[in-house]
Amino acid sequence: MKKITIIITLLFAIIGGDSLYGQVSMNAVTIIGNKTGFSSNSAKEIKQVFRGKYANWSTREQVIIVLPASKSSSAEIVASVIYGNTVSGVQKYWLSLVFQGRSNPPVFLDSDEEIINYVKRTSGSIGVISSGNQKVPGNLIISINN
Amino acid sequence: MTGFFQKISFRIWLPFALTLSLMMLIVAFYYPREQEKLFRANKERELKELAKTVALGVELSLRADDFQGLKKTIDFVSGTSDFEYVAILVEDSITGKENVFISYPERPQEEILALNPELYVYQKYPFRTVDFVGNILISASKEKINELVFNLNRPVYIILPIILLVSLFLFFILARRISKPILQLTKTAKELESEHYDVVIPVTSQKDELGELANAFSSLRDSLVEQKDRNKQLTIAIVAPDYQEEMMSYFLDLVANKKKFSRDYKIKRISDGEIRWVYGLGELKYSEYGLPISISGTIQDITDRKLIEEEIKKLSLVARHTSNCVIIADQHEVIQWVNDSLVQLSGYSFDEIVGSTPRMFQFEKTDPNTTAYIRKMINQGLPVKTEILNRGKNGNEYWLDLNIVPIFDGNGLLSGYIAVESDITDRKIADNELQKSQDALKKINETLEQKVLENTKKNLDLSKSIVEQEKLATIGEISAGIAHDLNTPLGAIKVGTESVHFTFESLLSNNIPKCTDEQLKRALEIAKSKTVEIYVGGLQLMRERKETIAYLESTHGTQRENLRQIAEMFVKCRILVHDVELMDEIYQWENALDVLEVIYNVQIIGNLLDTIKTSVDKASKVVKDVRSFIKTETTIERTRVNLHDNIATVLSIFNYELKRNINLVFEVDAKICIDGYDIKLFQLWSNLIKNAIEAMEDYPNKNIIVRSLLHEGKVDILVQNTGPVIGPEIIEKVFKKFFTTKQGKNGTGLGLSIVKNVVDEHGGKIALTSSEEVTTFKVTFTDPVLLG
Repeated sequence: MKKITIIITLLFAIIGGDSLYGQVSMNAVTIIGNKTGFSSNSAKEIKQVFRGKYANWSTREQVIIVLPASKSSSAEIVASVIYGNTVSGVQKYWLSLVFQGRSNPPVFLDSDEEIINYVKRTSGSIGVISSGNQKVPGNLIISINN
Repeated sequence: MTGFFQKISFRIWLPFALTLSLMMLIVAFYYPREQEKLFRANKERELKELAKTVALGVELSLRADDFQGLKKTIDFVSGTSDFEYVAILVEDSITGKENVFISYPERPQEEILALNPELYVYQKYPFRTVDFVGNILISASKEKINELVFNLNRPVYIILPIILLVSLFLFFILARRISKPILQLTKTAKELESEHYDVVIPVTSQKDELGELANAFSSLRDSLVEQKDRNKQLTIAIVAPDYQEEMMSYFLDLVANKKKFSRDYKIKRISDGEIRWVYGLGELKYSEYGLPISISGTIQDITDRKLIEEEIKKLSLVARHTSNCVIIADQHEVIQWVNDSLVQLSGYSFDEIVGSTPRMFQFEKTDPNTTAYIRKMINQGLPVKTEILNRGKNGNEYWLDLNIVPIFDGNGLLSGYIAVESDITDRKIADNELQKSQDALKKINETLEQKVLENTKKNLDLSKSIVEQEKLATIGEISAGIAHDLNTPLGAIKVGTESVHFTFESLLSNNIPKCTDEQLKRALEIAKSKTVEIYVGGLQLMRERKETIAYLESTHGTQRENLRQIAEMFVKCRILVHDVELMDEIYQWENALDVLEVIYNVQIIGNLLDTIKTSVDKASKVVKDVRSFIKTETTIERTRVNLHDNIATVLSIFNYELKRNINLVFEVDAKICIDGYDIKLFQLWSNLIKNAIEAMEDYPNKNIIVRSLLHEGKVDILVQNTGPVIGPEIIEKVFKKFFTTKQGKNGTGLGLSIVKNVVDEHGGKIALTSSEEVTTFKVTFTDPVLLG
């Protein structure tokens, strides 16, 4: 039963995930990355990255996902935008992945600044912060084509 | 087979091998089991710790977003060797059932929830976050754990058998090395046991325990040889001499018939040589050659029991066969047993008597006081001894001397009585006859006693009379001497009296009428003051007369015609020239001769009267001594007696005999006194003196010596004579009554007997010794008293 539930969830995510959880637009968040080697910047692909779909970039560099900590102010918006879920749901999602070893665990940081700084320092890392942050260097921003 | 095991020293090394094998087996089974238990317990703890770690990782990831830590935890857990899977179980809030949230590696939920303990080992640990609660389930493969357990114990399974085999081999080698000399010594011991003491003991130079054992065996063999000799002597010596032969036969019988040793016999105790009874119980041990080696068992001293048995045997014998009657009764006086004597005497059978009481023998003539006395004593638990008249079955009456003794048990309670009765009927009849005879005799005796008393009195009188007669005989024998002693003074008295009479007549008729009263008065004064010497005469008279004549002539002239007569009278009157005044006074008178005659005759009369008085005293003394000598005993008292005076009195009695022809030496100290009876002492000395005089009757040289010797609180009076030697056969009888050597003469045989009695009466001793020179009676008195 559980297995069926997961499959259905994934189907929704693949096929109509945006419509299901996407009450909030991707514009609500800013995606930043450092040498991610992204060739495509579609929202779907970005979400797949953040959902641990890929372990390495095309450059063979390890994908390092950087997310706002569950207690940070951006956590909820990011959970909603990227994962179409609650903060708690995001945690359980990552718990399942990490527990089974299906993905590298993401890095959770307490503020956007910390996420920005981390991404700036870490090659292959990709993070998400709330939109409108003025301190984001332009070279880190990954624009999304809705 | 046995030989084979013996050959490989089976008996020595097998215990070692068994012990070691047992230890190995214990280790082989016990150790792996314990290891497995421990390992599984550790594994469970480890799984629990892993579940706890995973739970912690889950909680950290959800609470602090630390998914890195969760990843590390999962990596760590899944890296363990026996790890099977780990899962997060959450409870369905609706159904309440646990569901698998996620598992790694992924397993079907049904398989996880089935919890198959045959295949897996599980551990759960809970976790809790704000909105996520559940359990971590971790499982390990049992197969893998078993494999680990086996790998863990593998060394034990491999090494232990190797150690066992090596140890057994070593033990076998060691046992062979030890057993060879031990088997040899065992063989030697058996030889020694069979008393083959000439066996060669392999003395080894080894300095180990086996070498010492061989040397010890050699010493033991020497000791056994010595001990055997000692035991032989001891065994023979310890059995009492009168039992040795019997015991030897008994032993031979035991050996021949392979019997047990069980016998009472006597031994002579080594420590003190006392003969004791013992009971020996034991079994003979034989060597492999069938020879007796020893007896193993116990010896118990049963001397006391034997003595009691013998005593009982004797008593039983006595009780059965004694002519006395024996009754044994219980505490209720019911007869339990009687002997044949009582059966015969009473006429009742044994069965008739047993079960009854002794009252069955009593009848109307039995003294009720006696039965009451018996009852009283028995009730008090006291022994009874009395005489009683009983009656038998046939009506025969018999007297019994009855001794009843109560018997008490070990607790002091009365358990019965033993009565021993002896038939005294004959004696009682004889007693009655005797009593009658005694009554008759008593009457005769009373008459006889009276007669005896009278005769005794007579005999006493006779005895006294004999003694008196002995004295009188002595007096008779010395009467001639006494008569002589009396005649002498009586003669002197007679002569003196006649002379006084004659002189007085002469004075009255011749001289006194011629003298004036004054001259007579003066003459009496002079006569009184002068002592005349009757026997003056001879040359002295002549010389003094010549001196007087010379004086008178020179003074008064020569014209007086009776000058010579006057001068002679002056000398006779002891008026001598140194008394010239008196001489002149008398001479001037014309009748001076008459005056001098008056003076002289008055003096002569005085002298004669003195002589008469002396003679009277002498006669009186003789009479007194004789009276003292013959005084009867009833008048004497014990007084202090001066021995000198006492003996002197006796000597004076014998004065005549002694002065006539015997040289007497009397040297008794005048100070010596003893306490005694003077009359009896007179008898003592008179008999000794009389004996001495009579003994020397036919001897020319007659000497009697009486002397005293004082020494050490005693005084010896020796009365010696130089008469004939007295032989020893006479000496030993001489003091016996009626023994005399003067048979047919005047001997009564009482003299020296009286002497002995007197000496004894004074607590003294008398001894007679005789030799060629002198015969001595030595009378010794104790505690003499010295006068002054």
